Amino acid sequence: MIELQQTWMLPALIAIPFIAGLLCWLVERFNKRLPRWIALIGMTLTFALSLVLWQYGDYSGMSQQVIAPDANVPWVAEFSVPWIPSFGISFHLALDGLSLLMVGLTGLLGIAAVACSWNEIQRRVGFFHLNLLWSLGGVIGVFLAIDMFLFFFFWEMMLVPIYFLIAIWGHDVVGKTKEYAATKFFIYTQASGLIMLVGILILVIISYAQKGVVSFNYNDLLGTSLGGWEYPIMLCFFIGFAVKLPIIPFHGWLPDAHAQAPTAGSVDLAGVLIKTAAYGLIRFVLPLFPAASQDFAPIAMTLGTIGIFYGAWLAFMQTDMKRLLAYTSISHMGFVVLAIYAGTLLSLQGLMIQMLAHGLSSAALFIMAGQLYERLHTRDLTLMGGMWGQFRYYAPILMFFCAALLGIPGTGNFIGEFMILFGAFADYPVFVVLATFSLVLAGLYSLILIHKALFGTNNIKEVALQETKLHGLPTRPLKDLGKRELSLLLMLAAGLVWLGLYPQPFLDTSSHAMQWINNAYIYSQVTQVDASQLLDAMEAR
Amino acid sequence: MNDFTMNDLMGLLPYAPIIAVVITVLVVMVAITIKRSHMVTGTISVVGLNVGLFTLLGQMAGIIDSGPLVPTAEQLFVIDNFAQFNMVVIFICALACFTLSYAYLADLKDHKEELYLLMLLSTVGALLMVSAQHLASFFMSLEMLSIPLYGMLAYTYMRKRSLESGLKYLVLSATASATLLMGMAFIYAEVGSLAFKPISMTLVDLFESPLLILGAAMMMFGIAFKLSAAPFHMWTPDVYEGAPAPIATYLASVSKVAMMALAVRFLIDTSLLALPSVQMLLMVMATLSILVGNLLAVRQTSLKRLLGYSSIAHMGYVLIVIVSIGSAADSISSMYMAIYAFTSIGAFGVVTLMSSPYRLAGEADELTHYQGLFWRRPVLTAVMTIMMLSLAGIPLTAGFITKLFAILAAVQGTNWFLAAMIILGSAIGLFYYLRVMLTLFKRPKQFIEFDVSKQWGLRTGGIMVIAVTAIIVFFGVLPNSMIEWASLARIW
Repeated sequence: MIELQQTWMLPALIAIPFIAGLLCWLVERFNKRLPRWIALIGMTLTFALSLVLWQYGDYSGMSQQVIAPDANVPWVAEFSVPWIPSFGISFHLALDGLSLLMVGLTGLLGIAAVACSWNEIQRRVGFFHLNLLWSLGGVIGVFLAIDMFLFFFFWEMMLVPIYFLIAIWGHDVVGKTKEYAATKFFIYTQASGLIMLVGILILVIISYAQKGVVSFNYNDLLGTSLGGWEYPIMLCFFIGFAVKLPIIPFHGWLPDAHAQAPTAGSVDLAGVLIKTAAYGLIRFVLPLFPAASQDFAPIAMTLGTIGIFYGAWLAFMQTDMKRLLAYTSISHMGFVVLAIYAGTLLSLQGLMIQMLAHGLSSAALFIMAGQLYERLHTRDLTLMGGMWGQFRYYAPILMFFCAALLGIPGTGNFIGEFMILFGAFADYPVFVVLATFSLVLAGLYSLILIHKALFGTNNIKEVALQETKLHGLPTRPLKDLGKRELSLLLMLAAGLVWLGLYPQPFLDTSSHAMQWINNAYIYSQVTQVDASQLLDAMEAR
Repeated sequence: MNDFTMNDLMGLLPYAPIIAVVITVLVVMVAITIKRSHMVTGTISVVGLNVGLFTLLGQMAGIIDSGPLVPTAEQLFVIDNFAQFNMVVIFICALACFTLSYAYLADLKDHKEELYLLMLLSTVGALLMVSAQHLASFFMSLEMLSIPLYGMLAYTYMRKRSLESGLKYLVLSATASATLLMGMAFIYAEVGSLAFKPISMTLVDLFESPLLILGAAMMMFGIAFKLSAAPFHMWTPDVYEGAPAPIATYLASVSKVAMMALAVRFLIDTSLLALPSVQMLLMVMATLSILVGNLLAVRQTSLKRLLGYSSIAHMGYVLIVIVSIGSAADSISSMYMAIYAFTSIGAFGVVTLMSSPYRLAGEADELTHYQGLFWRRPVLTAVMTIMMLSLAGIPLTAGFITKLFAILAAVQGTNWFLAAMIILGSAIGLFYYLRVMLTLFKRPKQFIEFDVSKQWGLRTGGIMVIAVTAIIVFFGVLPNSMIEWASLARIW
């Protein structure tokens, strides 16, 4: 058993993408193709390291149904180095089942992002991979950081590379430049991040007033009795995460940013970046402000449910394939909000599977949209049709992932959504019933995507010719998926099917962490819970 | 009895760094009369400044004897930790400006050496400002900073804008100084003392006397002018745009650091900061500065004007720090101003390296001149990008740490409105900082008007700019030493 208490593996998870990204930029002048390989190797190493941690960590601990309220957070691995001692800030990383699965997802999607931009990005390849890897490193930092200042540091830091990715290598659409999309994204998330910073600072100051010791550490800040301050601080944190998730009405940045980002950027954004917001809500908002979160839950769930319907409805209306997928992300994140604020073990575990499955499926769909764009030079669904006869591999795989999008049994999305609905039903039946109706809409947008793209008259060749001439590019014969693209998509599909048919290993990994969060949220010692309420709650589980 | 003894000489030891610079002024004057040589003059000035800086560092470390350091409240000047910290910052900024001027002036076909004289005299004024604790020395050192600045701003007088900026600054600065003096007169009329600390002792009885408040307000107007805080900010964009690039650097760094240090010492030592009227005035000025500075910068196409408006906004943030935490503001504001000065040196440094006094279009102040700089000069672009990120307050830069402290100050003082202002200002600020960064990364234009030489990184100006960038990144990642040094900068 490797000693995991002060392990170098955690900072390595962050450092490898950073160093690899820097190397990519530096070797660009020597060899234009080397940066891609370096990036691929870097992300593969990161993914492998997360697998090593999965293998050697001890994630069990389901034996206790109710964990004692003052039990410590069940960290499996930790790493802490003092950073700014005068403020109690340390470079403190920690890993439990939840973080591990998120880091693993990031590594896998990092490989996918590098692989899918192999041919797409031709200009300044080194700088592109620097930004891509640095944003992934920042995301891993967000998942591992346990010191509030360090968390905020990585939270803000991961925005800058994404900004450059969209602004330099993105696509313009009619009426909006890629710089517009990138700037909107950045300002939304930065402003909300600063509001979250105010919340963090108030929390630290109150904790200092009570304990006499300044500390930004999560472990120390838990259990601070905040009194009347709990609700405002919780709102500050909520705004910070709500913009990122996104929750209606803070979603304005997402359709433009997703649609106009380069493929790897979209994979990064949809697959991983919005999961950081969900992670932040579970990790920080629920345990630090349990009573306020419970009071706020109906409001949040209302917004989430509106988001589910709004996202689904608008997705159905889109003609741009990537914008359609962007709106489906908003819709799925509404389920995430439902799961978080229900807070039962079942819904939190469902959330875990949903995050993994949504990451894989939306990444795959964005990759496929990118591959289509490389061939047709358009993403306009009204122009497409009849791809089923044209491509041997592309069409069935697109159909599979669209089916996953709507939540077909056999894919992880089904498991995730239904666990969430089951878990939330006991406490919030109305919202669950409404959300179940939205599954019809999910079917609508998935099927419209399949129908418009794959079936109908086969005019793909004409469309490709026309659009290629429109962009002034040399015409090439329409090819099906190559070996690289095929293997990438099959890898993601395999992951999705594994999640759909046998999710138990993943559930086992995250169960202890989710159990702890569930206890911190439901059985918080701050609220005046009387015995009968407690008994009822326990019976419901 | 009135002989000048050895003891008196020892009493001058704390002022050794300033004396070093004054001696440099005299040496440079003599050197110019002997034989005009740009290189000699530049070298002597820089050597003199370095001697002053190292003397100061030695005194701070305790290696060099700093004489009997028992200050009295009636002294005109005092060299305490606050003064020493700010003097270090001023020395470093002045050295940076001298380095930038040297390369910039190479193209000037006029007399070059007098600029160094003016800059040295102005630096002496700045050094005296941060150690002033008397209304008389306040005014004297302020004028000593400003008057050479009039000449410096108009030094490249063949450029219309340069002459205009110098005259504008002269007229407005004179008005501000007159207002300042009137305020001093009112305060003296009410309190009867000119030294800062004795004013605070008499203040207790005279709280809220109209004459006192009027005097304090008029002094604040004069200070706000120098700091370019709204609504006394109108000169800033025009003067920044017109000034020769290294002098704009000087204005943005040395002049602001000195004035802010003096303002902080003045407000804290005289306890005028405790007056509700003064606090209200500061809050209004801070809010206006943030709004005006950020909103007006959004539509700017000139980089120098943009940086001018951004300096207005940053002064707003510092004023929030001062009004929120009162007497503890000396260390935080010194740290903020130091980092802001370094960032200005970096940003204006890039502008200076790209400009020359009289060549073709003159100064590289339009944003379009920087379009696509990344594809030709990646390292220079990295410098400018880091400076923009630092001004915007993005993590990994020291600007983030200082912005964090500003928000922390507002939260500690439970000034929620001011905290919201900082957030709003930051969000608006992102518009133009991002626009600058994006312009650097766009596709370059066909005809390149301004460029640096291929070996810019090996010249002193380039090395200095890269060193400043390294400092900003270092303190952004490992801010502990910066925080500790700043916390020592307390007024005695």
